[in-house]
This record gives sequence, C-alpha cells and structure tokens, in this order.
Amino acid sequence: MILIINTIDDIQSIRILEEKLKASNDDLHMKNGQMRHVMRYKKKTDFGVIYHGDGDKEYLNRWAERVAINFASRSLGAYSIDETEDIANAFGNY
Amino acid sequence: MHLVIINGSPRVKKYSNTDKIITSFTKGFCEEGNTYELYTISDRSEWENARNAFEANTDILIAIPLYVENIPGILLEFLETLPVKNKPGAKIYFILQSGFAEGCQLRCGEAFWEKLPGYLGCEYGGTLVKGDNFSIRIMEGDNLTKILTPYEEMGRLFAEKKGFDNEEAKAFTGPEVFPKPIQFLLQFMFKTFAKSSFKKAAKSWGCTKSLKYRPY
Repeated sequence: MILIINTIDDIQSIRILEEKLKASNDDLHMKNGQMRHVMRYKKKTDFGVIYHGDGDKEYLNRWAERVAINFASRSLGAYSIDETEDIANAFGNY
Repeated sequence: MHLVIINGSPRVKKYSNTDKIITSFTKGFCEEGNTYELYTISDRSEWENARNAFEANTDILIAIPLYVENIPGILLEFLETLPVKNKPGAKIYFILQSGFAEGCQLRCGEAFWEKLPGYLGCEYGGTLVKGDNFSIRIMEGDNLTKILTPYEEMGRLFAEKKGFDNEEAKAFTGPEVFPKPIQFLLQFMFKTFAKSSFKKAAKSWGCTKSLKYRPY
C-alpha cells in the first residue's frame, strides 16, 4: 500500500495521514533505540511525497523518513511533480 | 508582557494534555504580573477571536502536540487563515510536546516551527521541546503534578528571558536518545506495567474492545 501526500500544506492530505494514526495501537515498544507504537496491522504503508511549487525538498525528505519510521514502513522520498523520471523509479513498483 | 496563547491540539480542552501543560506554564509565567489570553483551536467558535488577538498583539505562543511528526491538520487549517503581520518586533514562540520521550523524536517538527514565523511576518522566539507526556492523560493527583510542575518553572523562565532561546529551555528537552540500559528497562516496562496501565486507562474511558482490535 502507498500513501501519496500532495504537500505538507495540503490540509486534506494531512487529515488522511492523521486517520492513518489509527494503524498504530496504544502499546509501545523500543525499536532501533527509539520508542514506537506497536502497529495494529501486519501490512505496511510505504510513504512518499510528491509536491508542486517551491517545496522544501530537503525538509520533505526528512519528514517522509520520520513518518515512515513511525508507520514501521519505508520512505519513498519527496519529489517535485516535475521530476517525472525519479517519481517513476521510486513509485514504479506499486 | 502580555501573551496570546494558542492551543493547537485537535483534542477538546477537557482531554487536551497540551491544555494541562499550558495551565502549568502560565502559573509560572504570571507570577510577576504578566498576563495572557488563551484560545483553543479545537473549538472553532474561538477562531475569529484568536485571529483578532494574533493581529493585535506582538507576543504569540503556540502550543502543539506533535502529530505525524509535524503539525495537527486543524492547526494548519487555522494558520492558513492568518494574515501576514505587519508589526515590527512581533514574535512567535512554541511549546512542542509529544508522548515519545526522546528529544530526537521532536526535531523534525521543531524544524518546521523555526520557519513558520517568517511566513507570517514575525520573528522566531524559540521552541520549548519536551516529550514523555503520554501519562498526562492517565495520571492523577500528585503523580500528575510531578509531571506538570516543571512547566511552571519554564513559565517563570520564559517571562524572565523573554523567550525560549536560552540554555535552560534547551536542557529541558532531556536526552536526545536514551542510553542502552534505559532502553532495555523501558522495553521491559512496555511489555509489562505499561501494557496493563494502557488497558486500565482504555477501560476507564469506556473502551470495550481489546487494544489489539483490528476493525478493518
């Protein structure tokens, strides 16, 4: 499963992501030296960002990494919508 | 100093850990005659007054629970309604709190808040970063006081130093990552005491399903 966020200032996308929080339950555990929620489901949601306009690519990459860690999945990275080839490479397997 | 405080939590005031932190913080902040006005973003009827207060004042404090490593959607929606300020010297300060205890968990969120004041025509006044707040919702009495009292001291410090850009506020975060022995201890606690504590809390909130319940 993949979740694509329009941009970090896209409220609807952020809301969808907040709903995704329900994929973790209240229980905690330590993973790779940090506290994490135990995931409710075995299926993972990889996470990537495709943005338009003057997005802060470095920050969005950092954010995507952090979000993926929280969902026990992997980050597919952050890409400007113009980076069509990179997007195809990163998201192509889905 | 008069401070406009905006509670950016999506939770209603009654269940907001951020609100409890603000209550403790303002107790210390007001000791020397400082004043504040508080707006709660989860209550949309307060948005207009909050916007007016933002426009009319120069010291704004936004208190936020870390949500998906960043900003709660409802706060983002509110911020998008704010005008760019045209008051020289206007500053925005932040309290960023989370359940996860390690400082490193909040740094991505903090980086976002460092940039936000610039978008709104304000200066950045620093962020008080603090995790380990899961238990605010669960604890009561002296145990809760023990967690919240340090925020009172931070309120005093904020009033004295006029912001969070100082060493004491930075040290308040605590460890960026826990040492290995503490990590093992925490892992043990999470598998034993914490699990039963969460179950007990969930039951007291009216939860009738297992915490492992998979509705979908």
